[in-house]
Amino acid sequence: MTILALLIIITILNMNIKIKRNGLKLSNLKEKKEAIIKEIKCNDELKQRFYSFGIIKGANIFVKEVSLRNNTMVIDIENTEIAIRVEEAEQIEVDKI
Amino acid sequence: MDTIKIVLAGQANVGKSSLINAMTKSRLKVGNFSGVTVEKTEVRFEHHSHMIEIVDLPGTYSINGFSSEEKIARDFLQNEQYDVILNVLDSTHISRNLLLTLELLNMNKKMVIALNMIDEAKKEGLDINAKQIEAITGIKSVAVSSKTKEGIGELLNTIHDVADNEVRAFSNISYSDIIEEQIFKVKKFLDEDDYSYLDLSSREMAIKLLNDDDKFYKEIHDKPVFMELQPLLLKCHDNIHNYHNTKSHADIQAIEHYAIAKGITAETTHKKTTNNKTLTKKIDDILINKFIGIPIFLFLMWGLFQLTFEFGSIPMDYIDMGFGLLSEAVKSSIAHEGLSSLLSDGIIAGVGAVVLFLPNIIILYIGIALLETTGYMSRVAFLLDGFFHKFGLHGKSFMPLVTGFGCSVPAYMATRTLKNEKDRLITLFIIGFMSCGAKLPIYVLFAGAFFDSDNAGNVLFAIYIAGALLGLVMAKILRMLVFKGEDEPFVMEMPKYRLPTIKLIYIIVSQKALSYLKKAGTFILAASILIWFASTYPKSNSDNPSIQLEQSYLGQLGKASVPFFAPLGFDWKLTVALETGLAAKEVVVATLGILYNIGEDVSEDDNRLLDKLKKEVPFATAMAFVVFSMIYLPCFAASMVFAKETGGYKYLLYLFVFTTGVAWIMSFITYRLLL
Repeated sequence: MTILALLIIITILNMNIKIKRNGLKLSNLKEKKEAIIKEIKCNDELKQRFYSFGIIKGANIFVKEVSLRNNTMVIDIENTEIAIRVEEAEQIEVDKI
Repeated sequence: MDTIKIVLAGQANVGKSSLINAMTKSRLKVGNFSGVTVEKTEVRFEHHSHMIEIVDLPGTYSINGFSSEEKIARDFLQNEQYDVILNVLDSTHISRNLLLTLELLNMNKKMVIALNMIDEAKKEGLDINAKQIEAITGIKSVAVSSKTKEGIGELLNTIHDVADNEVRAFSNISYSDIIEEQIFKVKKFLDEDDYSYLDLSSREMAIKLLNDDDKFYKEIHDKPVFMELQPLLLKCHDNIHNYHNTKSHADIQAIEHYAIAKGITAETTHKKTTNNKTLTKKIDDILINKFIGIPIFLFLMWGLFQLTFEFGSIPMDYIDMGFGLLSEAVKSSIAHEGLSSLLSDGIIAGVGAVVLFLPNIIILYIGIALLETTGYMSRVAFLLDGFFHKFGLHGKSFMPLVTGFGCSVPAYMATRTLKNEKDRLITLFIIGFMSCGAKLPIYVLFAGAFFDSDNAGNVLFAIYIAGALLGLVMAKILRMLVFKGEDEPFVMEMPKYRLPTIKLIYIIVSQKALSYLKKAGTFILAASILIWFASTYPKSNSDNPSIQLEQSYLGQLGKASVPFFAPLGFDWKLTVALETGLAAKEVVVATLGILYNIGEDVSEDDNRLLDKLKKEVPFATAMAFVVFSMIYLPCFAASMVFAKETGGYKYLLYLFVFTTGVAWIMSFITYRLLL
C-alpha cells in the first residue's frame, strides 16, 4: 500500500518536473493573451536582438495577432508592436497572467 | 571656420532623417555615400559661424548587435573622430530607446539627447520632463519635434555649447546596489593608485573593467598595477555573477539597463490620460488581420502595378516616339553611312532604352517609398513571411519578385528594402525567373504558332506560373547549397503609421532615379554601342538584312556556339536570336523576323512569321526555345543594374552561369520529353 502511494507520489513529482522543464512557450500562446517572460533560451545573437527590443525576463507581453498558418506572430511589448517568427518565439518561455 | 562634427545615433524609426531636414532648413547639401547594403549620410551646413557636419548612422537598436547596420554604427562610434554624439529618441517609446542611450553612455563621449516627436507624445497624453532626464543621466536633453520645429533652435545651441565646452559631462547613471558596490571597490583601488587613462574618470574606468571592455583591458593589462587589480576584479566579477545567477555578461547588462530605463521612464514621464487605443493599433486591427490583411495588400499591389505599367506607358510611348524621330532625323541629315548608323542605331537607341524605363521606375518608387515611410512594408513582411520563409526567402522579397513580372530593372533596385545580405542576394538571383514584360512577345509568338487560339492564353499563363514556381524552387536550392547557414532571426519592429512629408518622398525617389540614370546609363550606352557594332560589322555586300546579320560578328558568334545549343535542337537562327536577346528581349522577335526573311518590322502577331516558324521549327525545339528564353540572362540594362545592386561583376558572372545552366538543363529536359 505504502509502496503504491510512494510510486504515485513519485510519478506526480516527475510529471511536475517535466511540466516545469517544458514550460509554456510564447509560440504556444493564443491570440489576445497576455503573459510575462520567464526565460529566454537562445544564442547570443538572437538574445541581443531580443534585449534591444525590451524582450527580457520579467517583461509583459501581449499576443496581438497570429498569422493564418501559425508561422509568424505580432506581439505587443512596452507599447511597441513586434513581428516575430514562430521559430524565434519558441525560444521564449512565458508564464500566463 | 570651426567645424563641429556630429554623429547621429538612434534606433530605427525615431525620425532621424526628418530631424536632419528640420535642423538644416533649406541650406542642405546631402552627399550620399552608399555602401552596398548600408548607407551613412553626411550633411554639412552653417550655424552661428560654425560649420556643422552631420553623419547619419543607420538606425540601430543596439550597438552590441550582430546585424551589418549595427556593426557599421559600432565601428564608426568607436573608431572615427567626431565631437558630439546626438542620440535621437522617440518620445513615445522612451523606455526602449533608452536602452541604446545607456549603451552609448558607456562610450564616454560628449553627448546630447534629442527627445524627438514630442508633439506626438503630447497627443498621446505623455508628459515628458526633459530637465529631469538631464538630471538623472547627466546628459543635456532637449525635447524637439521635427514636424512642428519645436525645440530645434535650442537643440542646435545645446550641441554648440556641449561641443565648445572643454569638459565632458560624466554620466550620473547609477546601477543596482550590487554593481555599485563593485564599482566603488574598483574605483577606490584606481583612485589610490592614481591611475589615469585618456579623459576617463576613475568611475568610468571601473565600469569599463567590470564591463570586460577589450580595449581598456589591453591597455591596463601591461601595467604593473594589473598584478594587484586582477584578484580584486575576479572577486568583483564573482560577486556580480553570483548575485545575478548567470555568467553571461550580455544577460547582466540587459537586466541592469532594462531596470534603469524603466526607472528613468517612470520618474520622467507621466501619462495624463488613459487613452484606450492608439490610431496605429486600430489600423493594425484591420491591416494585419489574418483573414483580410493579405487581400487588402494584394489589392494595393494591383493598384500600384496598374499605375506603374498603365500610367507609365503613356510617357513611355512619347519617349519611344521622341527617340525614334530623333534617330530618323539623324539618319537623314548625316550623309556618312557608318557615322549616322552609329549615332542613330547605336547611341540614340541605347540611351533611349535607358530613358524609356524611367517613368516606370519613378512611379514604382513613389509607391515603394510610400509603403516604406508609412510603415506598411513591415506589416507586409509579417503577412507574407510564413510563405516565403519556406523557400528560404524573406517576407519583404515579395515586392521585388512581383515587380519582376513588369521589368527586372526596378525589381533589382527594389531589393534594397531587404536588409539581410543573404536574403537580398537570393532574391536578386531569382528575380529573372519572374518573366518580365519584354519576354511576353516571345511567348505570344510561339504560343500563337504552336497552339490554337483557345489554348494560347492558358499556355501563356502556364509559362508565367512555371517560371515563378521554378524561381521559388531555385531560391530553396540556393539557400541550401550556396547561401548556407542559420537564417537571420526575424524579429522586427512594426513602426507606428506615419504620413511622410512630400520632401522626404521627393528626396528618396530623385536619388534612386538619378543613380539609375547615371550608373546604368553609362554602362548600357557602352554595351549598346558594342552590340550595334557586332551586328553591323563586317559589312556584307548584300542589301539583304538577313545575310548582313548572318555575316556580322554577332552572326558568326551565333554560328560558332551552335554546338552548345545543338542538344536542345536549336539551329543557328534560333541561337542568334537568343544572343541578340541579351541586349533586350524585345529584339528576339525582331531578329527572328530578319533571319526568317520577312523583314525587320515584324511583330509577334504577324502571321507570316507564325506560319514560317510552324513550318521550319519542330514543336519540341520551339518549346525548348520558350523555356530557354524564360530562364536565361535578363537584358543588358537589367544585368548592369544587377551587377550594381549585388556589388560586383563577379556576381553577374555567377548569374550568367547560373541562369544559363538552369536554362540549358530545363530546355534539354523539355526537348527530350517532347521529342
